[in-house]
Formats: sequence, structure tokens, C-alpha cells
Amino acid sequence: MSDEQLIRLLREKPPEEFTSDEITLVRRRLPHCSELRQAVADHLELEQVLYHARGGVRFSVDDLLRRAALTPASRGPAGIYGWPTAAAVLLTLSVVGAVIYARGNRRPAEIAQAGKAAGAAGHHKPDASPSTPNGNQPVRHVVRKPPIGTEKPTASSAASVSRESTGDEPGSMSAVRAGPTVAISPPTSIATPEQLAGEKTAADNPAGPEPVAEAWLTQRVEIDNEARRASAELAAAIEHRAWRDACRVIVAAAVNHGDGLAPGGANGRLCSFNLMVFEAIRTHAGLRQAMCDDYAVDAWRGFRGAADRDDAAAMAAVAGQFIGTPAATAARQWLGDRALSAGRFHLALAHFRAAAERASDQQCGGLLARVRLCGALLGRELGEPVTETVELEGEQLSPFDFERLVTEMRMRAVPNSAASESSSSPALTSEIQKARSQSIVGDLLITISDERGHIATAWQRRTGDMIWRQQLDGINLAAPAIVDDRLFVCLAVPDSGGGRRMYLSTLAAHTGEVVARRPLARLAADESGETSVRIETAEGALVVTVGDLRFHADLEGCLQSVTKVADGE
Amino acid sequence: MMEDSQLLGAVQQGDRAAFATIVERYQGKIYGYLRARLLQSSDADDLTQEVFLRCYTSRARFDTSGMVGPWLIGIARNLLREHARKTRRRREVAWTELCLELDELVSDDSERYDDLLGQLPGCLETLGPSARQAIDLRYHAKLRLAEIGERLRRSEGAAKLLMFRARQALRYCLEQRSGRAP
Repeated sequence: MSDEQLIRLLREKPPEEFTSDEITLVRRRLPHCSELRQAVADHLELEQVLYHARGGVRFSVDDLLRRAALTPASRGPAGIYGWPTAAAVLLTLSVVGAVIYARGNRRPAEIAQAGKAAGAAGHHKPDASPSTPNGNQPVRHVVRKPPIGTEKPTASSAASVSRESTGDEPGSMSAVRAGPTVAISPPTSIATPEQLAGEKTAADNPAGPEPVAEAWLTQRVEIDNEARRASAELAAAIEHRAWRDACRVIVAAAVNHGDGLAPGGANGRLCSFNLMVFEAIRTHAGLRQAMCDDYAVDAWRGFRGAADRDDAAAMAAVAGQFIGTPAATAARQWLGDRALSAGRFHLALAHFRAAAERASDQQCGGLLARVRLCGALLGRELGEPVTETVELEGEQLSPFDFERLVTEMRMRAVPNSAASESSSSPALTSEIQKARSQSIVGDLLITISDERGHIATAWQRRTGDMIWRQQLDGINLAAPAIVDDRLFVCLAVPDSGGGRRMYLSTLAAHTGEVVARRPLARLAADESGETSVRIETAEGALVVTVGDLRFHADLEGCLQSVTKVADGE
Repeated sequence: MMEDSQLLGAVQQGDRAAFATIVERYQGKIYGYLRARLLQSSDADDLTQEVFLRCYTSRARFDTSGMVGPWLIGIARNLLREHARKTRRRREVAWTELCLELDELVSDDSERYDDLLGQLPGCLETLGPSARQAIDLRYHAKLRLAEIGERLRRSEGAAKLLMFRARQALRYCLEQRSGRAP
């Protein structure tokens, strides 16, 4: 091929259509032909200008700064120890990492090679000149989709302080009819799961972050060592863009240690392994692709097995273990549909939103419709009206019918003030007077009193009949939070050292059954005085504040992250 | 408006707002530079952020009497080299390697680049609606030619031809307006 032909080729074909041979030819001729050089330069210049003006990338500077805060070794010219020491430390870490991998017989050649290459790149150019910056900081890709189902406040949602169902449940769908009567506690603050994933920390303080010392934190919050090890392996694999290795780490650790807390966020924030994986999958397109390439088949197999057995725990495992695959998205949708059928609208909304964030175009429409429906069931307008047929419970609904259903649900979700009145039976009146807290869940009033120990009691509001009574396994420290039909209480149990262990207990509001009990923090004897405790609900999450620690949990009560409360809050 | 060197001086003192301003000011240029040299847009997204991450973590080494733009392009070029070294998809990085070799052979002309960038909106206006839409779908919506054809209800070949003509017209317009027509 002549130079003229190559020049014409450059003008006519986009680079992605070039064959390897064509590129090789251009490269070979480049040093010898000025016209060819000019043609490539012109092509690049126009592409660059067009991408600059028309394209672009959105990312959060805050996230970048958080990431930068995790790489102190790369700041400045090697600090007081100099590059030789830094190099020695890096070399030692590489060896230790290799030993750990080798011990687990999972150290793939890919990481070893990438590690060597990165190590070499990091060490052989310690030049501090501006044009040759170096260091091998982990990449943090923080391009985000816009929040799913961004809320449009409605008059009813804005005006309501507490919302209770009318007793006349929305009922055009069997799934909705099947749901129990529930009171809907409006969130005290609105935050999407995506926002929680990028939880604001002290690092966001323009005045300068106050890092949470890990040792200080780990004395009070239990660290899962397996989750810690898996997090370190995941971070190493991501740093070297060894996506397949990162996938192996996720698949191996997500099921048994997904809920385990480990240092993994900015400034020593503790995160569950699942949350770290969620963030990694969201930010690294390569990781998503590798997960789909390597595990799509396994994920669908897991999905079908869980669906056949109607096993929610197995389905949740598929959603966590194979996150990023279409099957994991389908698993989230399945869990959301199940929560919707059970009347757990907030939980369903959280599942649908998480699924929609990683959904394919084919899956996305149905998920956004479900987000919209959940919003309507909660009396809110979420997302945009649908424009395509929606399949729900095996039924095909036209856009018109679906929107009519959404409007109807939203209307019915408006509280009926008359229904909020309770019976004036003597027993209930007396209990209310003694109670430390009282909460309404549909037609139930739940009181917590500290007479004869801490006891939760549920009363039928209209009749005043007692429905259930549950002795709480600890001292109730704060007004409970209610989300859907779950009651979340923060309990303290004295320990032998004079301190207290704090737990987050989850009770099924209609039966009083304790469905989960998760440890929060250990408070030493000298901290056991007046520690303030508060439980709040946020969109798709719970926020428990214990003194200067803030715990974020999902609506199943699983901890997602622990941060330090910023000064002045 | 603060000068770049002042901004970087402020960043060196820990001013996050100044860093955000630098990111805002240069992210388009860096993304454009990387995207033109990478075949995968997700790689360009990743590397753009890493450029600024490295800019921040190595801010102490920046000579505030220098210029920020070339320094960032230097970081981007180093990252491209690392990327080409690590990536195993040879056909994809062959293009990147070609571009890096070209960078060794020709010098940057930032004044000309800024001039072209300033003229671009006016030149886009001179295109017909289909050509403008095709440019938008390609560079803004990041679609491939086949997808552009689908959107415009044309064959892939027709979309390719449309894109070729649109680029040719833009190139001609930019050269004319910047007074550098051959």
C-alpha cells in the first residue's frame, strides 16, 4: 500500500476499523513520510477537538480526593524516608502479597505480571519533574449514572409527616393486594443507596479531613478478618487492572464474607465487602465486562436454582456474588418483586434501584417502571411516566394502564387521618403512659416500655387488644425506626468489663419475631455513661448514630459502613 | 479568573476548590486527548480520572512557574504508555502505540488547538442537520457507526459516508476560519 493510499485510508476509516496490518504499515511509514505524519496528526487533532467540545466525562472531584487520600505514599517526593525506603517497602509488600496469594493457591500469573510491570513503572522513574509524574495509585473510575428514579415531590408527600395506610389497600394487582397493611414512616432524610455508597466523610470537609484512626475504630467495631483479606486482594487486583482476578476474589468471598466489615473507605472508613464490590463494579467498566465474560453462565445457573427453590437467601447470594452480570440484576429484581408482594415497598424500591443501576437496556425499562410503582405505593412520584408496555406478575400492561395504576396507587397512599386514632381501652391507655416509645405499623401500635425489663408490645389499635409481647434482649437505647413492616431497635448488653455491647435488632412488626441481630459497637466502661443513640431512616437505608460513630445498614439490618460523625454535626 | 499557576499554588496549599477548578478547566482537553488515542471510551474515562488523581497526588512536585496544561498532557501520555504496556488486546493498543510514536515525532501546538476549539461551534452550525446529528451521536452519545446508522435509519455504510463528509466539511471550515487553509 502506498503512502497516498494510507493517507486516504486515514481520512476515510475510523481507527477502530483499521486492521492490525494497516496500523503496522502506518507505523512503519510514519518516520519516513511527513504527509502521512501530518494526516495522522490532523486526524487526531480533529478527534481531540470534537471529543473535547462534544464528549466529556463526568466524575466527582470529592471521590477523586477521597481516593487520593488513600494513597499517601505517592504524595510528594517520598517524604522523609526517600525513594529507596519507599521502594523497599513496596517490594516487601509485593513479596508478602505474593506469599498470601500463593498460600491460597490463587495467585494468578496475571497479577504477578501486572504487579511487576507496575512495580517497575513505579520505581524506575522517581523523577519529580512535572512532565514525568509517576506513582501507581489505584484507579478510581467514578463516572455515575444519574440517580435512578429521581424524586419529584408531590403535595401529599411533602405535606405528610407520617403516613398510614387507609385500610383500603391498593388492589389492582395481586402483588399489591397481598401486601399487609403497613404504616409508612417517611424518611427523616433522603439519600439514595448510591449516595450512601459514596458516603460523605470527614474527607469532604474543606477545612481538612480528620482521618479515623483504624486502631481507634477497630477497638470498638468488630472487623471481619476474611473480609479484610478479600478487600486487600480486590484492591490489589483493581489497582493492576487484573479484572479476572478481581472477579475471582469477589465470587470467592461475597457469599460468606459479603457482610463483613473491613477498612476500605476514605480515611479508614469501615465498609462491608459487599459495599466495596458495589463501588468497584460501578466504577470499573473492565471489571463489569470481566464478570459478564467469565461468570454469566454460572450466575444464570444460580439464578434458576434459587428461583426453582423459591430461596430468597440463595437469590441474594447470586445478586452479591455475581454482581454486574445480567443474572445478578435479574436476582435483584426477583428480590424486589418478592418484597413488593410482601408489602415491603421501601425494600423493594431499594432492590429495584440497585438493579436498575446495572441493568442492560432490555432489563432497564421494567426496573424503572417498578421503581415508579414503588414510589406510587409510598405516595411519591419517582421517575418519568413509562412509554413502553410493562410486564408485572406475568401481565402485560400498556403504558396508559400502567400509569393509571401508578396514579391510583399514589392516591390511595395518601394518609387517612381518621385511621390514625387509637382505641381508648384502659390497658392500652395505661401502656401508652408508661411507654418509652410508641410506633404505628398499619393497624398496630407498638410500645416499648422499661417496666420489668425492656419489653416491646404490639396492640390492635382499633380494639386495644394485645397482639404480641416480646422481651427485648438488652436495654433499649433509642426510639425504634420502622421501615415497611420491620421494627429496628438499638439494644445495649452489659459486658463483663463494665462496658456495653450495642446491637441492632430487627423485629417483624406483625409477629414480634426477632429476625436479625447484628453487633454494632463495643463501648468501654468509661464510655458507658450518656452515649447518645439515634436511629434514622433514609432512602433504602438505616442510619444508626452511637456517640461519635455512625453505622449505615440496609433494610435487612446488614451493616454497610461505619464512619465517624463529623465535628459540629 | 485565577491563573493556572495560582490555582496550582492553592492546590499545593490544600485548597480543594482550586483543584476542582483545575479539573473543570482541563477535563475536556484531557479527555479529548485520551479518547482520540484510545479505542475504548471506558478506558478514556478511567484514564482521564487517573490523570487528575496523579495530578493531585504529585502536586507538590509541580513547578508553579510552569504551565498546567502541558503538565497534565504529560501525565496523560505517561498513562497511555503504561496502558499500552499492560493491555493485552494488541489490536486496540496498536492504535495507541501509533499515536504515541507520532507524539514523539511532532510537537504540540496548543495555540492552534485553542483556536480550533474556539471555531468549532461556528463550524458545526454550518453542517446540515443529518451531519450535525451524526457528529453528536458519535462524539457526544459515543455510538458506533452501526448504531448511528440505526438511529438515522441509514445503512452502516451510509452512516460512515455521512460521518466522513461531516468531518471533511468541519476540517475545511476550521482551516478556513483559523486562516490556515493549505
